[in-house]
Order: sequence, then structure tokens, then C-alpha cells
Amino acid sequence: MAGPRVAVVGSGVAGAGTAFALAAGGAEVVVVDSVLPGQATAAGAGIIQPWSSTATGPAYELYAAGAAYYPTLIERLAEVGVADIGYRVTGSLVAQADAARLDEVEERLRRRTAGVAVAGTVERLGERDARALFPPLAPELGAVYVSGGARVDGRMLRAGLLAGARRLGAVVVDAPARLVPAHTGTCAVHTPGGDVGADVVVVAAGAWVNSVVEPLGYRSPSSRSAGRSLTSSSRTARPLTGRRSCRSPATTSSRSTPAASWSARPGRPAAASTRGSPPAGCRRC
Amino acid sequence: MSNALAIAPGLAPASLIETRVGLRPLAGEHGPFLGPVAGHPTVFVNAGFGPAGLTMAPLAGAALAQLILTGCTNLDLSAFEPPEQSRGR
Repeated sequence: MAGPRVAVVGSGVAGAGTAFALAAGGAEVVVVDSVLPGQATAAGAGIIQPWSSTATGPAYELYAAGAAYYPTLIERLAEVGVADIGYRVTGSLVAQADAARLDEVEERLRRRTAGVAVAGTVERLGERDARALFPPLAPELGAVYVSGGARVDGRMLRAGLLAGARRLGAVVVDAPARLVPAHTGTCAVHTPGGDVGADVVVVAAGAWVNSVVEPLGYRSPSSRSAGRSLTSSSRTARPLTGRRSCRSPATTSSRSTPAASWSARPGRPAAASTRGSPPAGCRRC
Repeated sequence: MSNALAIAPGLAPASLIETRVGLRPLAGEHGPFLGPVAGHPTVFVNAGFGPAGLTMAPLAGAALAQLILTGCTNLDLSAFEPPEQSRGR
């Protein structure tokens, strides 16, 4: 039996990841995106180290599960001939000048990585050892090292997911999309080249999600923030030894200080959204 | 740049190859929105990962695909259900 026809609006890592999984599950998939400048997927530093995050509850659970999923994802992509998504286990450093705050980070990392194979081991480093791993580091910073910390190249990941989806029959259309309400509670995806009919629509349009769903009379309480990463080359910075790298890795510096980079979410709505009880469709298997 | 150099002053003499800027969609502090839009059971949202998209999104996409194809998920997505409507915006 043929699967449902699903239109995925957006081809960043969210849309591409959904499209790949849908195609693997037998859906007939059409991905529609005009790829405007500013796609977060292409700009991210790609640090895969959720365990020191200050997030808690379901958001943390998803964060940690997302990191643990990478080996499975790589295996599934390899099955359809996608060999490299730029994922490397480099190890991560969380650097911090304040020893008491670093104690908190260390405690959190030890508690959360215990028994988690993908996280590897946790090690507290003094200034000298931290600089031995990452020579450009400021001398006053101590650090905690997590051996399972990894990096992924967002552009390669996106390209790999889309290539995998295509090999499973998905079609990728380069066009801007808007949803148009249709009869019986369904909708069509409108593009300048014509409507894309679908049984189901997934809106994975990142910072542009509201402009896509607006014709349905819906607006999600999401906002945007600018994420920045810098890439530099240095003659003085030696290559890191072995597989070890830095949390703000050798060639990329995160905009915020390392200890704050995972908790700082500027621009979020002040009030948390109210959520109703889950619909029957969201039950667990 | 000054923030980066405060952490890694050893990069001061390095050449800047590229600056990347992207717009991060933020759903809120409780994570992304994953699930059907209220009143539109065939329209699903998958967005709002903030700085965590490259970590969360491949798994979130797989879970959402499972929800769409089978009506249920191995991963509990109830906390990420899109709210009925934004308030006061």
C-alpha cells in the first residue's frame, strides 16, 4: 500500500530530517523551500554536547536523546549511500573562570553522563591542561572535558538528509511556499509554480514558520534570535592533539561565553505558552 | 568577536575566514513545537529549536514522521505540542 503524500515546507535540518524519516517510512514526500539567507542550519557551529545544558524537563530529555540518536541516524543514512554528514566526536571543553560555577557544570555533567555511552567520560581540567587541549584559550579559564562531545557540519547534515530522502523517492522543489486552506480541514501548499497537493503538511520553516501558517489563521508564539558563529584560521594555534577539541572548537568561537552559551536564549517570549492535554494523535506507542 | 577573543585570546592573530549568521526560531524555554496545529489535524509544525536544532532536529523529525505515519511515537512529544494560539501578539 502506498504511504500518504506529505508536503514538507522548509529544508533546514528540521524539514530535511522529517523528510528523510517520512520517505524511509514509505511516505510520498515533496520538500518545498526557497532557502532564504539566514537559515539557522547553515550558520550553526554544530556543537553536539547537551549534557552541560541548563535546560531541564522534556526539553533536556529531547536534547540528550537527540545527541544519542546520531549513531543511529548515521547508520540509516549509510544504508541509502550517504557516507558523511560532517559528524565527528571531538570531545568538548566547557571553560569557565569561576571555580564555583565550574563545580556546578562538572556536577551536572557527571550526573547526566553516567551510564550514557555516547557521552563518554568527564574530566575536570586545570588551566594548564585546558590550554594543552586548546592553546588559544584564555589562561584564567578552568574547564571540564567531555570525551563524547561532538561537532556536526549543519550544511553537510542538511545535504545528507535531503540526499537520503531523494534516494528514497522524495522530490525537492526550490520555491517559496504558503499554506492555503482547502475543504474538509485540509490544506494545499501554494507555490508560484502551482499548488502542491498533500494528505499531510509539515511546516518546518524555522524562523519563517508564522509566515507559512498565517493563511490558516494560526500564529505560533515563536520568536527569532540571531545565532552567529565565526570561523578563523590561526598560525599560532596548533592543531589539537588526538581526537580532543574544544567546546568552542578550534576553528569556531561561539558568540557567548562557553558556560552561558547553552542557557542564553535571548528574545524568547517572557511568558511560557499554555499547553492543553495532548490530542489522541500524540499518544506514545 | 570581542566575546570570542575574551575566551580564546590566542586567536587574536588569526585570520577571519567567515562569519555566519542565522535566524534561530525560538518557541520558548520549554523546547520546540512538534505536533499538529489546533483545528488542522493534517498540518504539523516542526520548528523552534533555538540553538539546539542541530542536536534535536534529526530525532524530532524522525519522531514526527512516526507520529504522522502510525499515529503514535516512541518518544513522548506531548510537552512540545503547538499551543492553540499565541496570546497577546
